[in-house]
Amino acid sequence: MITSMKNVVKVYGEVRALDNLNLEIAEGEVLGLLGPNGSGKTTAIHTLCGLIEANSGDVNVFGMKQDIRNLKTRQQMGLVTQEVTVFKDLTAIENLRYFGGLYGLKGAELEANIKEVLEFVELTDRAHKKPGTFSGGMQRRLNIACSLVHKPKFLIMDEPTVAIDPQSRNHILESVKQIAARGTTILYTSHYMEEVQEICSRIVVMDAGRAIASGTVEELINQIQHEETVRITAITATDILTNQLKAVAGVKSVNVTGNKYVIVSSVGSGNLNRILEIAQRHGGVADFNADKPNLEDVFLTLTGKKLRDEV
Amino acid sequence: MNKFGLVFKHYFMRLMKDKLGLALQIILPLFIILFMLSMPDEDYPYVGQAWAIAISNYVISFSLFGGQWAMGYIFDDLKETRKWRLLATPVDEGLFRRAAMLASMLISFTNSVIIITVATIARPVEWNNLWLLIGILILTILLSHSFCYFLTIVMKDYKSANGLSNFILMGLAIIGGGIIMGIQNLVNLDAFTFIHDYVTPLSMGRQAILHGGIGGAFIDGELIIGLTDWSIVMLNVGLLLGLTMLFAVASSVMRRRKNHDHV
Repeated sequence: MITSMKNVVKVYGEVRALDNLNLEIAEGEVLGLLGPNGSGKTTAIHTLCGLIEANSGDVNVFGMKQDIRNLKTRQQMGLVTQEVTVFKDLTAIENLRYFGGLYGLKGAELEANIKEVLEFVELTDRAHKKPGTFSGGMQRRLNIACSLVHKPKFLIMDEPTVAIDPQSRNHILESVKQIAARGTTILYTSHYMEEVQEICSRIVVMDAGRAIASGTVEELINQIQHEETVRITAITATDILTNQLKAVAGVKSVNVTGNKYVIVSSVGSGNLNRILEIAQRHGGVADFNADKPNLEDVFLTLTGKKLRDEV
Repeated sequence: MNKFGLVFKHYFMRLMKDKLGLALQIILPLFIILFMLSMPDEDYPYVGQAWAIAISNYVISFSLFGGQWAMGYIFDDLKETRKWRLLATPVDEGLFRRAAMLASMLISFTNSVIIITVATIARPVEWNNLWLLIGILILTILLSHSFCYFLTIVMKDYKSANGLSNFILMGLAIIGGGIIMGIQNLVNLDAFTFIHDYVTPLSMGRQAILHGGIGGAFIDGELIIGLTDWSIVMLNVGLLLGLTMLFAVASSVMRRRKNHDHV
């Protein structure tokens, strides 16, 4: 394990920001941490980085106890914060030199790493420009580069794609995949389900300071009892079609409005083909779609909250 | 270069690139002194000593504001925008604070030396004891930075800290400077004279340099209750040092307490 948190409690006044949080991240893993605002994600990250100290519980990073006095663990960790934290009064390369220097890099090694990360985030041609002249997406890429310049073994990314254009977001997501492919362990938090779904090998759902579910996307979807909704627009609506659909095993309800049918059935009942077959036989199909449960449904079921609406 | 050198150089570079800071902390005092120096000399004895007193008062007053510059950087880097990012590096928070303060102190001191040099070249200033002025300047710069360092620990945000420091430092400059003596001329209260002469850091610095030789002919017969000139110098140096230490110790205690509160 690269890191583990066992029964970690962090209290701010009356609020239990972390409530017996348990979390483990294996080496090389890309773990997605999902949770609405106030669920404790950032407190968990700050505790993992040793920026705040827990009231109780154990936090270990690289086999060492993590606390606010431990500077050793930070040497091999990288933190990409939600906010862009580069120095706007320094050029991109001066920013990278400074951050690299803070991690003890110097000379040829530092310059080689800077060249590599600038190429990686595609900012080589902007190396001598100040970030104030960059677009929001480019500033975020420089922000990430500053956290990568010392080649951390464990990278924590706290919503690195907030408020940027889709093109820059795709660029960042591709970069994360490449960083992971090199063997870097990544903890990634986001409000965007599709991002987490795309890049993370495992997901932990947090709510009220606790990890309430953990697993791959498929495992999480299987954990919830959910319904599947099938929508059919029939060429001709008939009573026979309605009755035949209601008789299919696993179908819970059939609502008809004109020639539009909304059929709700249990997930995993495997009756999609049967429903289509009946519809074609008794009314003809003009249009058809089926909504399968996704991570958003998992989140909604587990926490009772919509992730993005809370932002 | 070790990490302290790296961080010191980083703050020094940023301070030197800060146009607004440079304008307020360096260009403005230099502009005012050049304006003062452009005034024609009156023909009276000890004019060189009068210049020495005026320039000394001026550089000490400005040096008391020096700490505010670094304070803004410390808030931005360690309490606001970049707080978590910089604290996540393998560098102790205290190192960032000390390096920023030292860079600012160096610039503040260099600026005072430039003003003194310009004045010495432009006018026949009779310093009598320039080293004492340099020493007092170092003390007032230390005091200013120690006070502002304390504010970076006890105040939550830069806006409040800057407002409070402006209020206190401007207040001290007013009651320790010429304005309160203008009021004294109107109301004739000894309390105003006492405050002006002894209460503020500006008064302490001024008393020390006046009695340490720079006062020259202007200080004759103004000894306080039997104290010799050098006793007065030592007393005021002690007071300035004491105030500096007070803020330094209070900062240290508050930082430890805040770290403890993390648990």
